[in-house]
Amino acid sequence: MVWDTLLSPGMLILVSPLLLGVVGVLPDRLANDCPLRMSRLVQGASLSGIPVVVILLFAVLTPPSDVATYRLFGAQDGGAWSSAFSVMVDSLSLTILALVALLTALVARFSTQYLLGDARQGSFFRWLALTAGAFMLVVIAGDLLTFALAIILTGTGLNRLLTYYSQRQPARMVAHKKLLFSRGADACLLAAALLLGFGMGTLSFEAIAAAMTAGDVTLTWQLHLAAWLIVGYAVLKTGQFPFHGWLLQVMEAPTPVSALLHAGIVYSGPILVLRTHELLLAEGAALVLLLLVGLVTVTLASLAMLTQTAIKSSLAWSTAGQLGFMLVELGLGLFVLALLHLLAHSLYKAHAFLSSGSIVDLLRAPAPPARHALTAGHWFIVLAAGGLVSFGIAALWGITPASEPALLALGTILSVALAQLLAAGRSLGIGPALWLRLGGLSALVATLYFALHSLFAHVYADTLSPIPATAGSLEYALIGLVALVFLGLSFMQTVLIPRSTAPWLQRLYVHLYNGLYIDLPVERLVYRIWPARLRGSRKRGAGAAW
Amino acid sequence: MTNLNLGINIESAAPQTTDINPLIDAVCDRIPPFWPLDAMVATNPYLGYVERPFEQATEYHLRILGRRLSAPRDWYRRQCEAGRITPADLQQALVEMDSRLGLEELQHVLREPEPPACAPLLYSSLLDERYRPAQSRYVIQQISQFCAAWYDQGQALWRMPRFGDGLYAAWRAYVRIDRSPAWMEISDVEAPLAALPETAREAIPAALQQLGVPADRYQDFLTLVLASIGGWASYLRARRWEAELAGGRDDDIVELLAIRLVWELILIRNDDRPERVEQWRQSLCCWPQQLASTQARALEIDLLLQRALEIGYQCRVVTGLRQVPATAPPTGTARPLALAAFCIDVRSEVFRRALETADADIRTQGFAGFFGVMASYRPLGAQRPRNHLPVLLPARYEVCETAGDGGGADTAALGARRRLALGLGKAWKQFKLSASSCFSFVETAGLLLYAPRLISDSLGWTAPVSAPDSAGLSARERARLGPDLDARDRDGATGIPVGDRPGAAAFILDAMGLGAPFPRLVLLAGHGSSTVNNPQRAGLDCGACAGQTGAASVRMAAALLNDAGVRAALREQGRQIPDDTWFLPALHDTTTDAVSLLDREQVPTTLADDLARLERALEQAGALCRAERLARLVTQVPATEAERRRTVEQRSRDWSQVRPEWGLAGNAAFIAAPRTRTAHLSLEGRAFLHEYDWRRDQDFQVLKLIMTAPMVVASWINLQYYGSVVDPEHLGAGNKVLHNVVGGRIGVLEGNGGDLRIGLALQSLHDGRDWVHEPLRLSVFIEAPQAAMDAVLADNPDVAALVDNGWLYLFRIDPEQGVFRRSRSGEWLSAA
Repeated sequence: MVWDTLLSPGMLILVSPLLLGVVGVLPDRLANDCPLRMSRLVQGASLSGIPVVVILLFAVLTPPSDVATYRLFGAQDGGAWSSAFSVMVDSLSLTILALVALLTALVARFSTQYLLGDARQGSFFRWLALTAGAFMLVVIAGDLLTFALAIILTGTGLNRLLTYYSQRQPARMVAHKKLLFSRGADACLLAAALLLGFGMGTLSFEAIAAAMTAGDVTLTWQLHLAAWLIVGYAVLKTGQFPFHGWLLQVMEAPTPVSALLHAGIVYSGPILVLRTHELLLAEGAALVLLLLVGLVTVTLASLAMLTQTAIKSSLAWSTAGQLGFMLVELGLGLFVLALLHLLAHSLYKAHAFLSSGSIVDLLRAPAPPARHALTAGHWFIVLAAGGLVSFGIAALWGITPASEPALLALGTILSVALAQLLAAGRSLGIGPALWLRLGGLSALVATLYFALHSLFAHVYADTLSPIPATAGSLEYALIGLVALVFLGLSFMQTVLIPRSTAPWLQRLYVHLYNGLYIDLPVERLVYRIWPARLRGSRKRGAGAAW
Repeated sequence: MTNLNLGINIESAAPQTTDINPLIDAVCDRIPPFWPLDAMVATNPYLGYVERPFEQATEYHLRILGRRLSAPRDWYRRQCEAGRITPADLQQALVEMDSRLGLEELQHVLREPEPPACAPLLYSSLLDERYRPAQSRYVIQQISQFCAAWYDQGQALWRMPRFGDGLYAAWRAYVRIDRSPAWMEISDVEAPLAALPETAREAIPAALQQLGVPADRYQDFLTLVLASIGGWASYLRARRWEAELAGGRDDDIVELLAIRLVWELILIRNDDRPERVEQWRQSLCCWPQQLASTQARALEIDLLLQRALEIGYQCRVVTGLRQVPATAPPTGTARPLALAAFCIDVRSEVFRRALETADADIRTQGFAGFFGVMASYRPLGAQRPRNHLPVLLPARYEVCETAGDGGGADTAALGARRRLALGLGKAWKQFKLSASSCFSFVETAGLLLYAPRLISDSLGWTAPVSAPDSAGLSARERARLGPDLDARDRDGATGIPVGDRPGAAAFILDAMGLGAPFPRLVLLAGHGSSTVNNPQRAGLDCGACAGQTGAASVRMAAALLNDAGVRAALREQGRQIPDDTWFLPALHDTTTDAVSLLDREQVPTTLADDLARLERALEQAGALCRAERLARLVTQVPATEAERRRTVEQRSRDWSQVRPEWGLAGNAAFIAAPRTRTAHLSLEGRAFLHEYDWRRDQDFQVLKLIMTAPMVVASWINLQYYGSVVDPEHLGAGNKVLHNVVGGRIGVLEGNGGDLRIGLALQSLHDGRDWVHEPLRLSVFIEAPQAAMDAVLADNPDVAALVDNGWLYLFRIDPEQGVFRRSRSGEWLSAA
């Protein structure tokens, strides 16, 4: 029975995480003796995931089966615990696995020269391998318990990467803050697993989805609570307001670690939501909470991002905001779009972190000055133009508010974004040539946006619930709220901030620039819990130089 | 050179009068300037202390700031064990410094660790406790964050509101809104602030009084206070420097001092343990006026070891300089194929040696990389010009970049196209980063744009952003642009007026010591680095061009010297430049050691053969140079030239490369002499070589210029490297891997926050196993008559201070009698 499973083609999906795991448990001394070889091993092990994904796409996911769960132990018809320790092969796990494989390889490649000469570079690769391998397990986990164990292992590895310069007091501080929230999230997750195990008799994502879709499950208190715990997990793990402090300070670790974290590991929350979304759809209020938390974070984080003066801090706030936006999409039931956002943001943020040193070159180039500030009237005009382009092109793609109520929010968000693009035509004041190009660019952006939107809705139609075609009054209220928030953000940024000198706005600036001070009480708490480990060491020199 | 007059009296007593302003300015002058990342040039971090002997400055740093000016004892011990410091060196150091210690005693204490440095006596540092976040760290963080927002140069899209008229006033308004002090158990900010005057210069004495600092320790205490936020203080010191150079005034550094001082007061007012305050005040009262005896002894030993290290190096150079060249120097009358002038930068030494090996008919010489053109430069489409000359000098002209038509229609069209492209880029950047649009940006562009970019940037096929010079231009458009001496426009660009050109050209010729016989080709080679994703890239470019590449400067210099009108005017002055002589600008890429000829198409066709031969020689020299320099960068140097070239090119495009080249690491000597004196030596890329022949120098004006400008700049560079090695925590930029660019292009933070970091990064000095740069004070060798050198020193007390206070060593080369070292007291002793 076990051999049957092990020999099935689907088990290929374990190749990459297992290889990385093997690299991850090599002894430190061996690793540090040949860091370059370690780097190649990590790159090779993670890249092996890409051909695996291609093979599995053709070999396993041929219709009619669009999903396959492989259990490592136990009989097919056992109880809840026999459903544990399984991996899942479907379009979702394969897509994200390919992403993580690519990112890990690129991060390892980047770290080769970046950390060259460091005595502990081999250890770095070791922990990178372990962390990435464990995170791959998170991605392909077929049940809640595997997911939980894998994410705990990922957290352990990540902790070592965050304290790579363990002599730095701020680095230890951040790692402990992260530990505080991570452990809270892990507790949520394990509790949810227990509740689901007892309440539903299975831990398998596939089985939960099937049961929920079939509608033959009565929602017991265990299931209600489990849904709320899953939402709590997502909120804690994605660094949402007010739990965002640790996410913003990970620049105490080498840049590639920031890249890996911001482009990969923070998504464990959304991934879990995607995996259990059928359950969450049944517990609608939990999704509403997700949306509200996300919306608050979007507002605060994207405004705070504008105030930041250090590149990596700005990028970190941006991550918090983007994850908030992903939660908003999840909350609206737009699971396919959340997946699109996850992939796109991951690639963007990895690039942004790795290239963060280029900001100086970017700013050294001559820049045309902003000549005019926009008035409310201008803002309204560019917004109307943006709205025309976005809703018009949506209609060309066959997407209308009638067929997809969420378009009211999505279209507004896109209109606001295009308005931002068009506003540059006014503020730079270069002339009609720029207006023309900006207009063309807006149309291109809108076209690509809806193209990707439709593509993802089509490709992931089997794995993820489709974009809702109808909406109740609650849904409409939420959609309206999201649209309103974005209109407010746009007005604030385009008109209010450049023009106004209102005292409330100035005060808001200071509070946002300081991250709303949420981090300070957390820091104090960490000092209370781990006083001994955080004493500043006054070592001479930077790093281990002398 | 009035700018060098920065010394202050370390031991001056408390002011008897109530006017504290001179004292405040003296404290601010102790801070070295630090230029922002887009114009990062080296400065002497001990600039404020050069008026005092090195030993006194060392003692002061240790006693007041708790910082050292020498390497750890253990490092010296390793140098002794490795034979880098010999017993003879130690013995000589003992004799020279008139020490009471014996050689054996010295060798014995090598194994002792040095006593820990004295802890700085700031109140905030007493508050770092086990059970709460460190308040000293918090205060620095708060000020640093505030300064970053106040001076932001393009990172923040929501600029800090102008809370007040100056830094201090704005900070007062800001800290009243800021709620973070309350979370740090600093509950009352308002009362201490209200009790202080509203201007910085008035607040400082008031705060000192309220703190209870004894009046005779004001200067020491303020020095300590300002040094604790030394990074930002240095940034503001550079702003003051620039303002003064332009004839203005900038007092922000005083306001920063006030802010930091007021923080101490706020902390004291909020302390719940009066006994701790009392204890601190008492320790201030008995703040030692001199070091304790163990510290003093340790200091003496460190100074001896440092001197012994320098003696070892100086002996080697002196021995080399004394060797009579095996081959006779080329006679003065023959006309060589070409003369190649390079920047005095130590990296040129390697290339010049290689070029002379490649073709013996090519002579080389060294001159400051701006080649004497006193101009700032405005790239096409830029709002403001960039300085293109050493920071010691003000720009006299502003030259524009044009398409060679004096700023006519062609340039205008190109400019409009570039503005459009850059405008579109800016709009896209806003779309990417603004609060309301970044989400749509990610969903649209993330997959389609960033997946390919991530891969191609990783493989080095593309760079994350295009180089600043070519942003918004196609390669062909870029190639058409160049500095245009004629261009004037309504924005205030002067060009170099026709009437001034002969004078400017004559200045260049004289300073370079160029005279008959002129070769047919004179190569003027500036230098620049090629690296990507490197915030400190300007630090690898030409310091004499204010952290830009030398390209614009050499093109301006060559245009001046090739100008027919200028040649005619020079002829009238009796400076005969043959008609077939052509000045050819070039750029030496110090990362790849490729030399590219600029404005090559303007070279007269009659010189085609010479040009081809020169190009071949440059090609061969590049290959030799790469082989030599790559050996220091990688453990296994590839066997063939093609592979080596591929390696360096690949390194120069690698966005993860933190050691693209070693820059000026290793620099230790400055030699101003004819090349014949050093041509037989390999100076290992450690020497600044300035061409100088005193026989051609009427009135010793050139000698004066060399000793007051290039020599001082070389000493600045040298001491910057020195400081970054011996005190990496305060004078080094920390670990590149953790760099976090702040303010767009102001500087870097290490990790999450803290003070602005100045100086050089760890990876620029250290290869992971050991320091690549040996901390040595500069040894200057000049071939000139003793009386002339003494006269220059007598006329320029600032330069004399560097020599007499031991911040550099001055040697005189006498071709007949050997090499002499000038002692502190001004005697010339034979350098054995």
